[in-house]
Amino acid sequence: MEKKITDVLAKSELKPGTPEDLQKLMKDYYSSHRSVIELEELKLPVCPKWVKLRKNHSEKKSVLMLIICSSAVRALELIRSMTAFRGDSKVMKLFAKHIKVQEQVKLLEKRVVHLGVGTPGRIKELIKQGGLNLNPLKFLVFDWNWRDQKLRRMMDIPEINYTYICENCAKLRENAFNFDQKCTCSIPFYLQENMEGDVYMYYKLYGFYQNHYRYVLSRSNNQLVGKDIMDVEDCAPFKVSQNKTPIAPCGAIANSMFNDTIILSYTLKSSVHIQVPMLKTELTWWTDKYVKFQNPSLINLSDRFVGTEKPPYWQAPIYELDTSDPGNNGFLNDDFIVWMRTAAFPTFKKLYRRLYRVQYFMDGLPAGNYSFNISYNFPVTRIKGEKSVVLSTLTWSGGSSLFLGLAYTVTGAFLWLASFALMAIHITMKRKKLSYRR
Amino acid sequence: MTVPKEMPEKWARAGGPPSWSRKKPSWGTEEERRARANDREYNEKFQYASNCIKTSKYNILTFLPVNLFEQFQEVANTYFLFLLILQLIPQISSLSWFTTIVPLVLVLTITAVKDATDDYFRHKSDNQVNNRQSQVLINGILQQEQWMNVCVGDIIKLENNQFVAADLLLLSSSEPHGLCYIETAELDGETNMKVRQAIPVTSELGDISKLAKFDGEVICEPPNNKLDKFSGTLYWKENKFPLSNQNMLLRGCVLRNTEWCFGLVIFAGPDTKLMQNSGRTKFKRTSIDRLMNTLVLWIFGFLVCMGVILAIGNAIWEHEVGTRFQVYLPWDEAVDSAFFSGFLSFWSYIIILNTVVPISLYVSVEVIRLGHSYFINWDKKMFCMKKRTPAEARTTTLNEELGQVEYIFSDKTGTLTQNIMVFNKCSINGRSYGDVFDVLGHKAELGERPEPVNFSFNPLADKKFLFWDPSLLEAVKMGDPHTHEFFRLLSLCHTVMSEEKNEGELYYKAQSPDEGALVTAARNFGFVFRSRTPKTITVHEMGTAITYQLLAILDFNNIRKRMSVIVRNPEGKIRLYCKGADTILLDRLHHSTQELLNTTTDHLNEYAGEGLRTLVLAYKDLDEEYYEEWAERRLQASLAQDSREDRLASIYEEVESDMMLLGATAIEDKLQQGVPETIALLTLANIKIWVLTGDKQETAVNIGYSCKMLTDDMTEVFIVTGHTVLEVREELRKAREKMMDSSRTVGNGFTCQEKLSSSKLSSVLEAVAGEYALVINGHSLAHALEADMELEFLETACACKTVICCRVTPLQKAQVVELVKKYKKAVTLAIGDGANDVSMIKTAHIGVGISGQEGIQAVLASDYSFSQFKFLQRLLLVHGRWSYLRMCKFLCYFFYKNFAFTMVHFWFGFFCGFSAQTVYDQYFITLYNIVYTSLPVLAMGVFDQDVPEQRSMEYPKLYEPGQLNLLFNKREFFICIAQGIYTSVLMFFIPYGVFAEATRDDGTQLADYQSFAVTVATSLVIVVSVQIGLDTGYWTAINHFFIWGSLAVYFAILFAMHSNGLFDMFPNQFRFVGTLQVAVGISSCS
Repeated sequence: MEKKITDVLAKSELKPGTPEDLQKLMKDYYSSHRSVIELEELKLPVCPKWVKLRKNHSEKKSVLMLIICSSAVRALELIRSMTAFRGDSKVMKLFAKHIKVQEQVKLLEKRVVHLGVGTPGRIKELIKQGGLNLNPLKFLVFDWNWRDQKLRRMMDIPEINYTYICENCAKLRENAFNFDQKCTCSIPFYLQENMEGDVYMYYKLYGFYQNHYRYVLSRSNNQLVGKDIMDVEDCAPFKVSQNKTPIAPCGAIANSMFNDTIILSYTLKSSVHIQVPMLKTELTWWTDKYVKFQNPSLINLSDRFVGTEKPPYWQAPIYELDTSDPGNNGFLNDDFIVWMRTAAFPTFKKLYRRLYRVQYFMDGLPAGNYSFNISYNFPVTRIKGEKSVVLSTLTWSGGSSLFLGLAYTVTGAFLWLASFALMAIHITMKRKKLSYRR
Repeated sequence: MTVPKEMPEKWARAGGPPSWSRKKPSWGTEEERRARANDREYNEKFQYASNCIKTSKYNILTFLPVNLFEQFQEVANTYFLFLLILQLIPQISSLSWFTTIVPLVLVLTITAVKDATDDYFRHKSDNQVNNRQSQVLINGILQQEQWMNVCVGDIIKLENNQFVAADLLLLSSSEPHGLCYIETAELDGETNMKVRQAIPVTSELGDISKLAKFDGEVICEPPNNKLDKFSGTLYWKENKFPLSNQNMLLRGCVLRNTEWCFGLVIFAGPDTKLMQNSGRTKFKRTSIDRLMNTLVLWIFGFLVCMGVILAIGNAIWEHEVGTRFQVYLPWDEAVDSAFFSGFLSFWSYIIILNTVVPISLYVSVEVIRLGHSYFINWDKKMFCMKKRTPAEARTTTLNEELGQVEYIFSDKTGTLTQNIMVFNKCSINGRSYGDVFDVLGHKAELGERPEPVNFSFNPLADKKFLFWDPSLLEAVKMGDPHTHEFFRLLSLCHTVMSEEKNEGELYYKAQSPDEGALVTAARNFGFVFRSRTPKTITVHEMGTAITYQLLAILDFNNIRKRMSVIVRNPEGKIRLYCKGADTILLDRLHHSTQELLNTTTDHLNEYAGEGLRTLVLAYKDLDEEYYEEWAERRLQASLAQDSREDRLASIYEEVESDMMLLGATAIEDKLQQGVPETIALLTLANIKIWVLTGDKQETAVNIGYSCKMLTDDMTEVFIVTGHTVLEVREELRKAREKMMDSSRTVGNGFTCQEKLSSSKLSSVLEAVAGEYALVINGHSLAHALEADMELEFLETACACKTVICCRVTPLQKAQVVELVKKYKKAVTLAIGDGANDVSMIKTAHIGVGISGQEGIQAVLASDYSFSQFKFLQRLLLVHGRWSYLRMCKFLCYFFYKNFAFTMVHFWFGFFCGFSAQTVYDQYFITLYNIVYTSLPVLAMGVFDQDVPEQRSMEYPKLYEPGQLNLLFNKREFFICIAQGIYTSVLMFFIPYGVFAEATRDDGTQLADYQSFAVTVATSLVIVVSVQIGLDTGYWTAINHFFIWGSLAVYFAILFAMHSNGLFDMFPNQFRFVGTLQVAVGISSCS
């Protein structure tokens, strides 16, 4: 079974998060104290002087109570479950999904809001943009011990959806003319436990239809295996460039290759950041690397691509994907090969890097503060998609899936029940038959 | 009837033939045929068909277009062609063209090869037939010519044992009086010899020089398919001569016992009666066939629905997401709006989802039926050792309906009975002979009979003939004139042919077995029929040979039900001898015989009560003048072209009146082996057996008792014999009331409402208590079958356990079957052996012919044939039941596997933007139905059994699910479909759940399309293989071989397709390189 945070959690005893945990975390991170209210208490009208506070509250661009939870879905759920508590106070959704920052800022400016429910990324963004003033804030609620489908709590999430966190980059990328402008973005996060063993870094895309019929077909295996660079027959609609020169690598798949660079850095001490060493090879299937993809020649790669053009969305030609390593360049580039193996579903993750286990990282990733430094190139907001970066470990048997275990358990249980039921039926019927015979 | 219809002028004109007036007879329908002997030039004007026959459909050039055209007339093939065309449109094509063309071409090729081989053999036989040699008289010389070069109007010479080349007018033969003998086995299956005779004027044309000068012209009816009728006139030397079927030699006959003969070709090639008769019989379909067609239509509807849903999904997706996704994947140039894209994707999905109705369905069904037919043909237990005839499934498309039969309509003679006739009793001049008495004077029981009568006084006696009453022989020896006259009649009045190979070794060839029995009886009692010529009959009467002059034969037919001969004895007296059915003949007797008639009628009733077939014999003396005058009128009538039959009948009727009664004969009709047991078993299987017979009521009822269809335990046997509509209605009503009454009393005070609608009535009658039987007479049946009474009759009849219809005509037989077919919606089976059963056999859902003794017309018209009635139980309870079971299981599984296979695409549609992306590799789609899953289900469809054959015979109740249509109906179909959809849901969503999150053990992602495709495909193949394993009830080595073999082939092909080698050669076609190794690795891990 694969081992990642989820699994560690799944295996260890599921104790509810305690205020002590949070206090410890806060102490570690902010070194200041805040009060915490359990979610259960929220449901009861225990919040002292809430009605009075609410009446007195008249400031715009601020909230009295801020509830921070892990996802937009959870936020909506919380809002629904708080109907009794909130009464006629104004509630505002403060998450990123399908709502633009500007709109939220405008809304906050327009009216008095008592209660804000949202996700950390967007709240941070709002504060940053001055849309939210924290001074009148009386209560801060963390949705602390709620676990999502994968049994992860808010603090545990090893997957960081940076589509909206890096909002300005996303905005920049929405305009195709800004393709040459660089945009970077840093996302700090805290790793609660050590991630032991091999650690893999994935990028995950949401709502990207790599399984679309025409998309899947739009490639030239003949070209990719190095047989005939000029064969762009099947590559519509990206066969040739505007000046009629064939594209290499041609086709919609190659053209839309994921081109963000993600660098993981570790905060060794409060101010010392070191880059976590990562490997960028052996990310592919053996057959892909050694059978399906071949460079037209091993040396002078750029010469062999004369007469072709780079795909329109690419920043560099194919022979400059990795100039440092000839074995990872051209069609043999692992990132390229990984991308070319199209995903079965519109939500998918692809292997991006492997942890190089040296120095501090001999046993994996130690717990502590990290940050992703992302150069944000791949536009997903234009297709209403999202992207995130995932860290994960593995066990001996490869990836795990809670689903399969559940499916087996449920089916097994059902079969047991069925067999008992049938046995019972059989026994009763048998008796009847016997009595009939007598 | 007696007034002849006005004769056309051209016929009335005496002398030479009317001049030729029509211009192009071959255009339009031919009205009459003219052929002049030895005048090819004249005959060529009419452009008659040549003698070259062509049963083949194609030649090398036309084979491809014609055969393809024929094949595409089938809806299924056209549908797949339509799909293929859709796939060739690049905007729509979601699958490569080969996914459809490979199966389509395979199916077309198999059918074409089958057609081609069939046609090759037809060509071969055509060639063989067309190249047979015959001797044709050309320019006064006999020349060898091939058959195909023989023309209408040619005179050809036939020799003994030669096939007749065309329909010939017999001119002369080696035998005296222009007689010749033919065997008509190929024509109508009757193996006895028949006599044909040339008309007297031509019979003298013995040598070639005379024949070469012969220039008679024949004008006759146009070509038709009536084997036993011909009417024409020969014009020669200013005279005209009537021609009848007696003068014709039909193509397909073989000349026997005749050294040579000459004939004038009248009809050649395709115009011959043989070829005119070779039309195919009506194509029958089974109820499962019809249901299948309905279901296929429903599935098409379902397909369109799914297509619409997905197309709407596509339009919405393209509108919401696709417009944005254009960044990475611009729309096709042809597509300008989401709506249009949705429209295109509708067609794309139709292509993808078409596998719910795979082309292989129809082929597999045919293969399975063919297999079942061979099982019937090969069944040793249905092989009759005595006659060396196996059972034969002549139609291969009806097998499963054999498992659903509810009503059996059976002929009696030759079907229930052996049609071996034994002269058993007779009544002569009021005295009955033939009862066997033991010493004490009591009627002896069977098995304790004394010695049979010794016929040693007669050297010509047939040794096999047995008779137990010595008093009859004594009467003969005493010289009792009545007895002598009785046997003289039997020896003269018949159409039997004799063959005497050595002195005293007589063989009789009779057209009907009772005639043979009668002549044999006369032979043993000293009146030996020895030989006949067209004009004479020679009889050895008590040792002395007497030759009678045969003046006329008034032949037998179903309406007349009698035959007569008019002979002149050596003393010169003319006498008419007549034998026939009692009902007909007793009305035509002289009133002076009233007393004798009464005693004879008593005897007749007694005989009938014993189940014997009776005939009444009578004679009449004719004086010379009357005969001459009568003969003249007869000649006139026989010359008539129109309504000749009617005129002759009225003339015959006239002479056959006021006859003197001689006596009656009783012939025992032996029951076939195992008939009562079979009927009992079939009754237990809830099959209702109706006997439809032409015999009279007493005989029929008697056979009913001996077959155990009627028993003494029965509550009541209703006999309907009314002569008028009202009587019949009343009798039927009474019968119903009685049944209702008893059911009322049985039902514990259950009172029926007075006013019951007819439908309610029938439902009450269905549940009638007690066993009833209905016997209905022919004339009552005629009333009962009228439109306003048929329902009443049917209700009454269906409430009875046994129905016997006697005195029915062939048409009524068919009407009864049609009636049950129409209102009962039940599967009917008609079984019979004679020509009179053909209409019934053709009308019923399934027609069974008994390959018995009365010729093979019934067999030719039937769908199944065997030689013993008792094989019916095996055919229905074993073969029919299995066929039905297998077909149902096959269809259930087939629909299941295709829904499981296809619906996965539907679910995937929601995850791939409704872009008509298939889940599987296209090779898998191509091969799934024709390679990976076809053979195991075929093996199940051919070999499966739920219980062994002994069990299904022991427990006839097992037959009932078929009658109630329980194993495959709309409900079962929906269950199969639901199971298929359920499987497809699991097949898709379990891998989806697994793949969405999982990674490989080296950290690479797993949720790639190709791994997913291979995983789903592999699990699908395994799941459907396991399912077929669960469905298979009877494992043979072939089942094992096919199931394991299919799996093995799947993996072998998978490895090959995913191998590096193929990818190296065709990187663009074989994209799945390496996927299997990865996918299998994953499946085993997770």
